[in-house]
Amino acid sequence: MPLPRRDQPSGRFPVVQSMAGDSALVEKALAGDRHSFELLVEKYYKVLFNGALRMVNDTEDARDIVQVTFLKAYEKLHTFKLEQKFFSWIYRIMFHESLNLLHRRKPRVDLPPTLEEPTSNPEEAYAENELSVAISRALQSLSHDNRLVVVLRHFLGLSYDEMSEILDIPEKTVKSRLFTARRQLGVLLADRRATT
Amino acid sequence: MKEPFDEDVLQRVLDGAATAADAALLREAVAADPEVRARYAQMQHLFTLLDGVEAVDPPPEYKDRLLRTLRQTEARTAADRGGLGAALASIRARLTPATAYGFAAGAVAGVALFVLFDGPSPLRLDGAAPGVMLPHSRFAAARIIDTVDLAAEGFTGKVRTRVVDGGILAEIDCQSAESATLIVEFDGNALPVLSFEQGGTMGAAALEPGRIRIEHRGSNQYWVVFGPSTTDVSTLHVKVLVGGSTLERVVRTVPADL
Repeated sequence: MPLPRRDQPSGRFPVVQSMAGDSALVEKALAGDRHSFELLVEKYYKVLFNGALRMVNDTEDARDIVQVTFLKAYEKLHTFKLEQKFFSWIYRIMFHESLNLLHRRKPRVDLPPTLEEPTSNPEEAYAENELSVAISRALQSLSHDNRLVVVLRHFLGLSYDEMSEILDIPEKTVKSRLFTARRQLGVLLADRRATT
Repeated sequence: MKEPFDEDVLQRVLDGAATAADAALLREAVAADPEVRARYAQMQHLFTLLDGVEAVDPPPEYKDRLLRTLRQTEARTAADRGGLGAALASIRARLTPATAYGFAAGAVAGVALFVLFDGPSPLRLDGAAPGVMLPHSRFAAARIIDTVDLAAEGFTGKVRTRVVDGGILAEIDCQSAESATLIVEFDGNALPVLSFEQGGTMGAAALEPGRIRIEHRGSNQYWVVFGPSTTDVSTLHVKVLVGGSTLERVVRTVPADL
């Protein structure tokens, strides 16, 4: 049986991993070119928003997190090492902010994100929404650490070594967390059928 | 007894991180072992579900707001680097004659201060000392006290209060098809205003003791920083005058658990 090769998740998340030009933009921004930093914002805000949204499951909180992320990145830009990957650096800021918020947050009933465009077919829309709710709930039931690796891998399309770099943990730990998270998700979502 | 199949190999294959030997190993195991086959099918199913999750687009105006906030921060940083003189010069540069008169009148009379401005300028009002203005990066991390929706015909908005270092922040977010007047009333003795900012490029605001009046249109955000409340119970009374009707809401400025 041929095994499919999966270099990247096939989802429709705005995966951003092209480093081309990021360091040059940072250099220009540090030299006082505001437009260069704004180009980085334009490049990364959607993917950061989606990462934060999957972490905290609240669109308003996700927006706040992304805003704080960019403000912190702007304030700390001089600490960024040009040989680093900019996306690793800014993802790390975003995930720290997400975790900070989750730690501060009181227990509550999470609602699914509601920004998705409705599908024209009502039955399909219902099924998609139900699946989306189920996946959101399943994600929220994971520990923060385990949720983080799922978001990084499945929604942001990062490799083991990139996750290891962002989270500052060995690859072995990344794999172990992914394994645990997937096992839990597998059980929670076993009865769900994909809509596409 | 049968050795369990190495899950790590299965994950590496599904994650696209497998070697040719890994793939061959899994292929053989899937063909020979129903348990591995079932596990592989379960994982494939999970990957299909997760990969089918749609990305969510932030609202269209979100990017502009982000950029606006960054520009404000940048302007503030530049002003701070330049010291108080530079900050005041920056404010003076944005003042029209009418607003300059307002500032002068406010300084002399100490009763009312009218400010009319036309840009996203981080104005400090009411003689607030440099450093009182709180960076926005602190806002989102701050604890929310109350969130109240504003909804009237042709007008939607939200007022959110947060605890910030040294006071209370009120974030007001409004969208309206036509012009509207927003009035925020409060006990001026219990809640001193430290600063007021607006995000957009148009609009007029008047700050009076115990009251802020904003002429609003389109989509805009306003931020008011109050000093710490001197009373246990304090609220903002928000009125929206739009299309001949008035909407009134009360927003808490003291956490409910105090």
